[in-house]
Amino acid sequence: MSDFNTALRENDDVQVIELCGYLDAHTAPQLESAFSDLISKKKYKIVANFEKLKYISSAGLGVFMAFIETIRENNGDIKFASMIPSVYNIFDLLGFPMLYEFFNSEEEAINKFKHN
Amino acid sequence: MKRFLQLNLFNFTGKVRVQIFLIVLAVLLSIKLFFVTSGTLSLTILNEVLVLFIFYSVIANLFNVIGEKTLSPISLVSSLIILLLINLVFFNITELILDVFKLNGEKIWEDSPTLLQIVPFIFNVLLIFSLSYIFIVYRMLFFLQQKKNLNIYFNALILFFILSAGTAFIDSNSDYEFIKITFTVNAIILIVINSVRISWIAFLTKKQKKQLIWLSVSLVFILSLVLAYTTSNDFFTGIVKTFAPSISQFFFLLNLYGIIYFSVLFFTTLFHIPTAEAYDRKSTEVSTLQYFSKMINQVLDFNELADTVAELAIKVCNADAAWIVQGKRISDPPLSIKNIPSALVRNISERYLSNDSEYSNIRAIDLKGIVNIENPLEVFKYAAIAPLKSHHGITGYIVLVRKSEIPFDAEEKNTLQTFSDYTSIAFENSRLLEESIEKERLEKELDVAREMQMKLMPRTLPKNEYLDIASIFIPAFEVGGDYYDFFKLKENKLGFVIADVSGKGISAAFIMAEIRGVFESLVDLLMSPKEILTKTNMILKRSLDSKSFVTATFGVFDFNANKIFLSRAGHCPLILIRNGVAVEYRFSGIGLGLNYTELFGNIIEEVTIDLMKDDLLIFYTDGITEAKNENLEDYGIDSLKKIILEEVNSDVEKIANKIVKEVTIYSQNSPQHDDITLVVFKWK
Repeated sequence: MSDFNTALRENDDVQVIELCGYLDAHTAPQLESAFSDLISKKKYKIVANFEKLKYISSAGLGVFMAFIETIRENNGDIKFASMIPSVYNIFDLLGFPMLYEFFNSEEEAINKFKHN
Repeated sequence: MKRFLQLNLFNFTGKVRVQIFLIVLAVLLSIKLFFVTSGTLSLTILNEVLVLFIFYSVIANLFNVIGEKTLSPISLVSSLIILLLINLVFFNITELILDVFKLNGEKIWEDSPTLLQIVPFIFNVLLIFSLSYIFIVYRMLFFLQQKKNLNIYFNALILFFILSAGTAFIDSNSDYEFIKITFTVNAIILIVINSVRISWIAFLTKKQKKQLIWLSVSLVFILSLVLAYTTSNDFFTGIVKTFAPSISQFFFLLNLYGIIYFSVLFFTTLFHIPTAEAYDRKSTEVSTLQYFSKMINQVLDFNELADTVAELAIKVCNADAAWIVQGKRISDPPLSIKNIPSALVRNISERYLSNDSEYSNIRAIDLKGIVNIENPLEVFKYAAIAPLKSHHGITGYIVLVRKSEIPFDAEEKNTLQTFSDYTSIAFENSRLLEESIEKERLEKELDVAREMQMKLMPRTLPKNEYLDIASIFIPAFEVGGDYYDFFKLKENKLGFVIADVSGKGISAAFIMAEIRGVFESLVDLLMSPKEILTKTNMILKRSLDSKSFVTATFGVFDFNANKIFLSRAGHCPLILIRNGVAVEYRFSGIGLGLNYTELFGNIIEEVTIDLMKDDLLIFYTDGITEAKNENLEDYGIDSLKKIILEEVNSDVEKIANKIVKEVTIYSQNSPQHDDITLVVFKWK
């Protein structure tokens, strides 16, 4: 698989993590360390922007599962935004929409944090 | 030469040889005691032959004892000095004894034989022993470190020694004196020729060379003293020359040989002294590198290797401290810091290694005196930095520092360069080895995982009058975690599960084994797919890590009621083909391991489908729908439905084969990343 990278933005107290490329077993550790960084800085309100993510494997899904518990225990959350249909389909099949909040756009996700 | 000495006296063993030697000695003694040998020519010749024989015998025996040992030249020369000093003392004692008995030297053998002659006899025999020893030492010195075959020179020397000694009885006024003189002159010429062939000095250390100078001066002095003493002294001439002229001649020749040889040795060593230090250094360098290149292949542990490198580098390049910087980042902790506090290491590294430019060549740096704060007397003046290179580029540096005022010179830099080249290879080897071990370990692990997976899969498909079943499983190289199984249930029912464990390799295989066990035990207690999956989810809480999950679809066929009960836990949708129409069933349910609360049970549905004749049920894993073409596009569920519809009237095996064939063709330009599992049911 080709490259994967992440970019971090801050919108008030909401962290926006942009995912780009292919997220699989080889690139998942990159995302893991990005999440670890955020947690070590006690940033628990996170929006994952999937706009540029082309593919996600089960190892990629595992990253979100690994951190969600800690984040929610600290009154935070990971909200998913702007997925292309094929990526959303993978989340959907597994039942992620029952457990996580999905939004069509990043703004909606951020707003959801702000109005809570 | 050795063979020549070991003619073995007519091939007798050592013990017999000693016996023969003693008999000859006894014969000689009796001749001496009862005859005046100088009287007749035949007696004189017999006397000389016996003496030469004793010489030969002693040399051969002594050579057997000491000739095999490899002694250092210094100890050989020292032993010579000691022996000569003992000889001198011994001469004086004998002279004293003979004086007491008023035995005048010149006349001792000419007077009528008396029992007192035993004293000079013993003296001569002992002299023969000491001369033999001296001869053997000369011989050993001659052959030391000799690379060319010089046997012929030394054998010629021996020959003329024998001839000269054997003809020594010829009277100096006789007409035949020229024979004696010719042999003696030849012997002396050979002595000179052999004395200039000294090849072992170069291999000594400077200290040994200095010792050797003193030893050779003393030896020349002592030998001259002995020679002067014995030629001028009546006692000696009388006691030895009249006993056997050959001994006296042999004594003279050996002394001469010693004087010439050690004089030459003295001057040669003297000329070697100035280069001794350089030679020493080069030889340490060569032996260190030699040792190091041997080490490279033996030491596999990276840190141990780095330690050795640092220690040897200090030694070879005359440095005081060393360390190794691994990787280009200075923040990485340096390896193997020797003789320097780590604060200083950081200081120097930051100052001279932190700029982005890499040092592709060795550099010598003036540190301008960096002081060790812990010990202010310790000031480091100069550093030399050599890069460690691999084919990826620079992988680190060896840093050497020195306290003395002298900067690292060109030669030391060269040495360090050689050293760092060797080290780079060693590090690279150690790294490659580690990689290949890791790779092998992973491959072994995958073998185990693959075997486990194969054993977990059903070996045969259940056969019954209600269903046709076909299944295909194609494992991915890395073991994808696919699993399917059938469970024969009571009340004419058949359980079926298809699952996909997230993750790969051995960890996936272990989870497969666990869920198989869980299903196996649950199907006997619970009949509902929803309850089975909900219970399984709870059980998996203990063994699944937070990153892992399992998708599964569980079905129970009820043959009496023509129904199938189904629940889906995040698994791929089921495809039902009825009357030429493909329907995708995607009932609610989240993957096992995503949530361990009652939410799981609240979300998961159980669906009942009434089955009709020729209904096709297709279960599969994402290895099929996510098979990729060269553009990394998924095969997708629509293509799958389409291909099934094309084959809808075929039997189940044919349908399964067709699907797999299509998927394989679709993904032929892209490696198979995941297991492929396909199970096709047809209701009869």
